[in-house]
Amino acid sequence: MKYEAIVVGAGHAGVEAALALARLGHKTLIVTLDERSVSHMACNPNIGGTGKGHLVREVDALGGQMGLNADASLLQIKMLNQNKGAAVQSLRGQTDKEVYHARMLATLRETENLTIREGECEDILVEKGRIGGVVVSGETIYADVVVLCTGVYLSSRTITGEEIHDAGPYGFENSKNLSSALLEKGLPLRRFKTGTPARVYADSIDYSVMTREDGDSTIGCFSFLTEGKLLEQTPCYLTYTNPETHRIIRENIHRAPLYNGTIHGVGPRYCPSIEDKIMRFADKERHQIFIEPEVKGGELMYVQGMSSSLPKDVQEAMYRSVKGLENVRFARYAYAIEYDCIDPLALKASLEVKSVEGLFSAGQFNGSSGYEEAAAQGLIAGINAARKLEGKPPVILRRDEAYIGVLIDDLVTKGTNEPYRMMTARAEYRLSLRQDNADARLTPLGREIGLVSDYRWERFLARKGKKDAIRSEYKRSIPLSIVREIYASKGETATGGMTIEEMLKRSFISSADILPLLPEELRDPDLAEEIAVEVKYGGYLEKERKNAADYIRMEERVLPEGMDYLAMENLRLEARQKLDKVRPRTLGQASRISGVSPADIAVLITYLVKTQG
Amino acid sequence: MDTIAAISTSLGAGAIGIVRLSGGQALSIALRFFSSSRVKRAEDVVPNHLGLGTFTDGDVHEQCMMVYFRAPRSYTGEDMVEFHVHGGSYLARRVLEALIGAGARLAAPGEFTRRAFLAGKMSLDEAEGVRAMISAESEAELREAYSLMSGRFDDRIDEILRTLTEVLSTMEASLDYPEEMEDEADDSMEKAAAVREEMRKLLSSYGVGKLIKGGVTVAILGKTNVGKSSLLNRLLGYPRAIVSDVHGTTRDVVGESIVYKGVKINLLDTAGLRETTDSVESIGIARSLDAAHSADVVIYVSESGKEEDKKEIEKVLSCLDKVLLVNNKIDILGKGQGGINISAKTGEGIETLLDEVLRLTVGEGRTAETLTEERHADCIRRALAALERGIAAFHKESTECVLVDLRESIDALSEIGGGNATENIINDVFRRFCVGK
Repeated sequence: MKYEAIVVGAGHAGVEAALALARLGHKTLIVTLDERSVSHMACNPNIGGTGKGHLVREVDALGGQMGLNADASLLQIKMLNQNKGAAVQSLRGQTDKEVYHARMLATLRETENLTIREGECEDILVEKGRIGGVVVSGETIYADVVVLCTGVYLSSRTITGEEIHDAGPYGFENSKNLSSALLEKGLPLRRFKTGTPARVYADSIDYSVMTREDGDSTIGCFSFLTEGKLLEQTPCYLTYTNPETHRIIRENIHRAPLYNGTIHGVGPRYCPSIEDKIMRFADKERHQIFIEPEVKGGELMYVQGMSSSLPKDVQEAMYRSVKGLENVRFARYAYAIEYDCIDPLALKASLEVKSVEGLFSAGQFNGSSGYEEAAAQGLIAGINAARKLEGKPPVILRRDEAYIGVLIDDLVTKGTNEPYRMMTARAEYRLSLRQDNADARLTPLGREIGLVSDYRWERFLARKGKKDAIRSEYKRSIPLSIVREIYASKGETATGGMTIEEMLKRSFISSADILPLLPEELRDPDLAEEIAVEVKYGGYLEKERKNAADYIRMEERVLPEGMDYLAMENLRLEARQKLDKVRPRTLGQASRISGVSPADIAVLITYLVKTQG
Repeated sequence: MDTIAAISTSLGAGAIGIVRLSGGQALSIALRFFSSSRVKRAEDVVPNHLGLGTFTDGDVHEQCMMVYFRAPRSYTGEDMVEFHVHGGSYLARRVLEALIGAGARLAAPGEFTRRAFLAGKMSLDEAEGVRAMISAESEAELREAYSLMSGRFDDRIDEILRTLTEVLSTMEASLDYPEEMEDEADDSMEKAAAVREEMRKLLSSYGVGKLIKGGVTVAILGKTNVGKSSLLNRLLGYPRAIVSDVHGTTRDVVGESIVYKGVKINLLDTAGLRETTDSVESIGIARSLDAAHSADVVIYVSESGKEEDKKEIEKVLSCLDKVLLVNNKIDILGKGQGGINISAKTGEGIETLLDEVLRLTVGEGRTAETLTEERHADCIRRALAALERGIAAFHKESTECVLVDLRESIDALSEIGGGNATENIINDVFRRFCVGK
């Protein structure tokens, strides 16, 4: 058998990679151990959240699938940080995980050029430093590019107290042979750990003693293509741990695999298990627990905040000590999972493995955590694998262009010692990288790449045209009498006429206040707000742009691939070794490597001058 | 691009010191201090033309040369100005400080080179030269890192950095974990205000710090044969200057340094003051007075019992603020009236004299945490300015805007010790708060 491209794994990274490749016209095979695990939400049944919501929007703006698929399976949606500024507001949606899986599987099936195959990828073919294909359940399949998206399945084992299974998440089969094959080919693998809480029966919970958490039916959805709002929203419920819960955990801590040495993998601080929280924050009197629906009207609930690897009997005792969970029945117990993944410093910014041409990778295999981080990398790896086939240069997003750029640059420049989670704190150009303007930032690029359909492009142009019109409306002068009226409604006094923009610079004026001043066809509250945000951020955005200009100049200086850093005697030894390991693509990337100082960069420049003449 | 400045000749010896400016504001900053008969305004400046003029800033009034290179025809490809000043590090430093006070930023190591390269302006020869210079610079920095003073100064910077990191991590956590952070107390602004105070204190120690690092200059003045050279030799602990009974033995200024209680003291022995017809000796006397003017402290020596009239001394030195009156030869003449009684011969009273020198110059501020480096001062100045903006915005703007200024502040401060502010902040979020699912 021969394909142009093979994607190994059909989780959140794999499906984006495969769809991108197939949609760009390449005959693609996607290999999965089990079709039922396609886009399986192995942990929390939600998409988005701070920083992650931004990623979903960006994937969507580029023509990826995650946003559309989430919108089709939404149970509840919320905008986090609504009391803060637009740049840190993120969507978070509860989704029906069965619908999420089924919709994505259907999308894969109906996509041209794409074939799904169940089986275990046991080996990769590498000849003269170039990928040649893979071995699936004993059969060799050839391809010019391969994308590895193995998630948490590589030689994984799940751990619940003393009970250890050689298995993938949620009882799925794991990948048994690929790890050793990859090690043999020289890929630097290591072991990470993550975990998930129990799934419990919905009818065994007393919701009446919990706080009901509703969604917001006034806000939009993830995808720029989804129209309308989610009117019918399923609630979540909030309850807390208490001293009794903490006592049970402390008394059984010697049975926790994290504490008795059973688990060796490095776990994420971003998703601490409940025993971790109790031990590390002994002073905290209670911890939040959210009860979230797994499917619409379904029988199972997800107990967010109670991730654990304690034995089953301890889990039962501690869950039942929580208000509202006194009689809870378990469908699946919480577990920790260990898995193999690659050191992302072995990757180029294009997500191609440095040592094997044509081999790309994405998602948890690259050391990240989260569905959204996985999807973002999957999309980029798929795009760049396609461009490799086409002989085009890779698409590399800068840190001032997208959270996706921040995510990948962090991974391949700094590496990570734990599963990496997106946070807005990581984005130095945060005010510019808003979820509301993801389309303006990325859809033109997506069009150029070839993933933005005519339909999406028309929608984009229409939206852009409207925004431009609103922007010029904002420059229009408003007579004093009208300004006075609007000010008066806020208890303020106006002394002169001014433009809408000048009004919006006042903190007490919002985009809703000036909406009636716009011509009828431009009275779109979302767009009016989006432009108002730019006005209100004003000087701060200006400052970010100025900083970004310096950064871009450094990014534009591409370093030659074959530089012999170890031979650069005037560089400090640490700098030589770090540069040799990371092999930065640009001077800017070199300057972000920890252990490389500004003086080292100046020395590096002198070598560049020498080699470039 | 902002405008950067640096001394581009090596500090210390050398006949000429060159101070460079590069960036859009280079010429306008330069012309705030430089003028000449031909150059009054920016339009008068002819590019690539080295012109003689005067650099004026406070008490500095110095003849120097200035040359302007118009973008893109300069080393960095940007507007550049160079000042060529008389040798020695002192003047070059003063010029640099004036430029920084006027809005230039101290260049990071290798920054001129980086700009030149990014503008596509660097030749191979230049690159080789720069490489040698940077290695030399780093060596000097390394030596500084091991200096006695740095340890406790670093501790103080670390402490400020730690507190500022806590401020940022609390605010960042509230953005990235809005639900979990609801019940966390927020004392960010109190902490930020405390950091602001600390930074202000450090900066105010900078004047003193410079004295400590560059050393305190002490001129020994007095009439002929009062024992000035003997005093110098006593202070040095070995016979450096020729001592004789002949009036006017010392004809030129003799300079040597000692370290006393951790402070470098540069001693200048001078020709004795008297009416003379000897032309060489009169030049020497004129130099004595120059030395007195440029010194931080003047030790005015008289023979004990023959104290000179203060008014007379004031006439010669024009002001007595920094003058220590000393009565010498108390071993034979006995103690005198007023002033510090010493014997250069036996060493009596010498420590008292040196303590007085320190009290007059570095005073109470002489602690090991004192700020001594212009580079560090520049970082702290920028960090403080950004922090002040952040504090002012705290109640007016939303958190992510305030963080733009606070980030700038912590980034500037992080330049001193290296280290990645973002990583530190994220680590602090997870160290201090129980967030994440």
